[in-house]
Parts: sequence; structure tokens; C-alpha cells
Amino acid sequence: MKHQALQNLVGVGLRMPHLDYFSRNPSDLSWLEVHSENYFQPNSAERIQLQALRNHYQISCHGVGLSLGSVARVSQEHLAQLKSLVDVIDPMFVSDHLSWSEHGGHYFNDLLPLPYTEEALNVFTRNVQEVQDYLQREILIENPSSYVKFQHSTISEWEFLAEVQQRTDCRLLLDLNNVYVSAFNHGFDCDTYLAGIPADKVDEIHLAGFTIKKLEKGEIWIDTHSRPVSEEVWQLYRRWVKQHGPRQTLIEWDLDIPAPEVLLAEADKAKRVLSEYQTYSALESARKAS
Amino acid sequence: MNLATLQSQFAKALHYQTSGEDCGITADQFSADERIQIYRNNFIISLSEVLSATYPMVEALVGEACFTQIARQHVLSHPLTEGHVTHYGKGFNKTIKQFDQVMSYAPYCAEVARFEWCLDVTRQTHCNARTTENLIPLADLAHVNESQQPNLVFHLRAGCSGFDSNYAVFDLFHAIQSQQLEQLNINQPQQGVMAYQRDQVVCYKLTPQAFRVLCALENKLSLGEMPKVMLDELNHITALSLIDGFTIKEM
Repeated sequence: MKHQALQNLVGVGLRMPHLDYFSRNPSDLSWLEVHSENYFQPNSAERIQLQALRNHYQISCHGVGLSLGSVARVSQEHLAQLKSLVDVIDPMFVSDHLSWSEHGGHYFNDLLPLPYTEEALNVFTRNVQEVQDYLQREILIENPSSYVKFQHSTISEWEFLAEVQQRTDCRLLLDLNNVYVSAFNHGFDCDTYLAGIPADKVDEIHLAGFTIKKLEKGEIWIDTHSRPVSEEVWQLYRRWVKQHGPRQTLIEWDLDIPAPEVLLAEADKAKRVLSEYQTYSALESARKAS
Repeated sequence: MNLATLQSQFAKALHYQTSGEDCGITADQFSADERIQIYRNNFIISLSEVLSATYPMVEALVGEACFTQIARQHVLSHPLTEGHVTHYGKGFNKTIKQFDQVMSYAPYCAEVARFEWCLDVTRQTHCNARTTENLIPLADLAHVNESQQPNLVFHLRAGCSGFDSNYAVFDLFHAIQSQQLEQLNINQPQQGVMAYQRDQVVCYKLTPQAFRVLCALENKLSLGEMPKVMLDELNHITALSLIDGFTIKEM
């Protein structure tokens, strides 16, 4: 892959405070990711701005409200709104999470954890399939960060995710920060998790920062997206890219949103990792040739 | 525990109606309830932030700490009913009324919340509006026969709505925007209109006469159905660019 093509793999999460900035200052990024639900209203100023931005950038629609893990079926109204957005924006990716957020018609505006059981797997795959059928395209499923484990889970999260992929032919969005945070919270090894994820099904990687919550009995790490990507997660990214090759990579920042320049500096770091990969890859090829 | 039961128990636990121990959560150095508290916090904070964005005037009036308490109560008693937060926040004025200290300190506070919700609904209505009626543009008024004029019905722009209050909420809105609160007398009735213009919600204070005209337009009365004294005020409404077009009612 050529240098410029590799650089084009890096994007940033477009948040409301930066809409005007990216509208007025064309950056050298090739793509942006938005939270789909923020653009559902067809006549909103934000939707109109996004449609204009689409002339300069590829857009990825990342959802937080499909509630794919809920026992109830996916809301048809929500799906219709998503499809309407997708039809207008023609995004490079449509994604959502391995989680649930609705019960009995009430939503929680959060990514709630699933037990990893056969029943949950059947529910989740049914809902993913339904969404893919409705949208007539594959969606990407993102691994969540979590703070609880359920006693009756029978398999690991990575086994569950891999099985979802196999049963639905969906693609995967690998959030390395979420792996790192959950690994600490639940005491598993990041490499074990990553070894269980079919790398050839991963289309996108998320990178973000987390916060350490110190309690009397110890620490819980919280996926706040409010800080720069940690050095440990950069290392994880380097290792994954070296092993499996480059992927579309996104810098996410959702709370205490900094100046756009700070976000773009994080994107530059990701580009440097991809450049390192290119150098490494060229040296490997040369070594094999000799 | 099957998935339906788990999700039901988890939802209850988020509302403090049961504990994390009833959700089948594994305890370690942290109890199940300590772990689920992280989700409770996320759920309450995220929806409180939505309320904060919808009700900035209320928050400015009562202060951040007090607002956080009211918002918390609202989130726990008013569920979000969609997978997005665009329409969340209805009924916040009623939640405020449950706080006696707030109501005795600032009795107009609930009314300010009702005003801000109306602003939000104006924005929502505009943002979701679809053209459904075949309105004739105002520029074509000249082509209407004199005999048809009593049958004219003027249509307000999508989201345009009247607001009637016992407090000077329109003055408060403009005073907060201009940071000039010194001259404000909140204890007087006011009427006005909210509309979505130039990518933002705007509001105009109206005289009682003009407000009656606005209500007549909201009720889709034809010119012939309005008392003649109202017609003089119609130009005032038209001058504010609140009219989207007209139709001719079949009598």
C-alpha cells in the first residue's frame, strides 16, 4: 500500500463542537465518523452540514442506539431513520456495539453489558441479521468496554464476538482501548482477547483515552473518551498493525472535547504508526527477497 | 437467569429499584452493586447532560448543583423512549414543581422550563418537518380574487408556535442572551411566538392583540372567520416572516 493511501486510513470522530471547524477548514483527513443518531433529523442544521461535508470526506455512521442485544427486536422506527441517513450520506461503514440499551420500551442512552450465553448469541445474531437485511449491507460490530461480568456467561467476549461474526457475516470494529480497559477490569490478557478475534474480518480500529476511577477497594478503569490515547494502547495498536496489517483507524474523543488541533495531533500519531508499519513491511519484503 | 429476566433486573437496578446482586453480576474485590453503580452514573449523567443542553436558562437560574438534583430526579422518573435523545426532556417543568424550595425561591422557574421546552419543540418540529400541504407562496396573493379573500388561510412556518405566560419569560430570554438582567421585571404576563429562522430558534414578544391573531392562525381560521379588529394585526405577524404561505378554504 502506498504512503498516501496508508495516511488516508486515519480519521477522527466528528463531534458537534467541531462541525464548523471541519466545514471551514478542509483537513488532510479522508474520512470522519459521526454518531448516526445525532443526524437523524432530516432538516437539522447539523444534518445539512454533514451532507455538505460529505463532498470532502468519506463518512462512517457509528450508532449507539440500535440496542442489538435486547430481547426485543430492533425498533423499526430507529432502523428507518438510520436507513434514511445511510441513503443520503452513503457511508463507508455503518456500525454499532456488542451491547444492549433498551428494555420494555425504555432506553438507557448507554452501552449495557450482555451475558455471553447461547441465548444472548441467538438474540444478538437475530438482530444483526435483521439490521443487515433492512439496510442491505454488512454492518460492523464493536467490542464494548465493560465493568461487570455475569455469573452465567458460558463463553468469553472474544469467542462471542467471533461467533456473531461467523453466524451473520458482519464485519468487526475493534476498539483497542476497550480491550485494554476491559482486560484490566476483568483480569484477562489483551493478547488472548486479540488472538480470538478473526483479524481478516476487522475493517476498522478505534483508539481513545480512558480514565482511572480510584475506589477504596481498588481501581476501575472507565472508557470515558476524555483523554489522549494511552501509551499502552498505542503499543497495542503498533503490535496489532504489525501482525495483521493496517486498517481504517479512528481517534475518538467524546467528553472534555479538546481543540481540533489536539484531535488532529492524535490522528498524526496514528499515521506515524502506519508509516512505521510501511517501513517494517518494506524491510521484511527486502529481507525475504534476499 | 434468562436474558429477558437479566435485562429486566438490570433496568430496575439502574433505577435503584433492585441491587446489582439481583442481576447475576460476579462480585470480586468490588460488590455487584459497586460495579453496577458505574452504569447508574453513566445513565444518569448522560441524560442529565441532555437536560442541561435543553434547559440552560433554568440551570442559570437555579445553579449547577441544584440543577443536577432536579435532573437526577427527572431521569429516574421519565424514561427515554427512543434510541436517541433528540426528543428527551418533556415534563421537566413538572419535575421542578416537586422541589418546594426551588419553587418558593423562584416561583417562575417551572414556567421558564415550559418556555425552554417549547423552544426545543419548535426546533424539533422544524428539523423533522416534511412538506405536506400545497401552500401558495405569499407572492401570489396579488392573484387572489376579491371574492376569495375571506377564504384565505395563512399558514405558519413549521415549528412556529405561540406561548402565553404569567411571567415575563420573553424578556428573561433576551436579558440572559444580552447579559442585561438589571431592568428585568419577571412578574408580569407576556405572550409571544417562537420560530425557527436562519438556523436557530428565535422568539418575539407579541401584544395581546397580535397574540390573538397568532392563535387564530394556529387554529387555521380563514380571514373571514377572524374578527375585523384582528386583521390590522396580521401585517405585524407577516412582517416577522412567520407565514409560510396560504391556501384558499372551500366554504
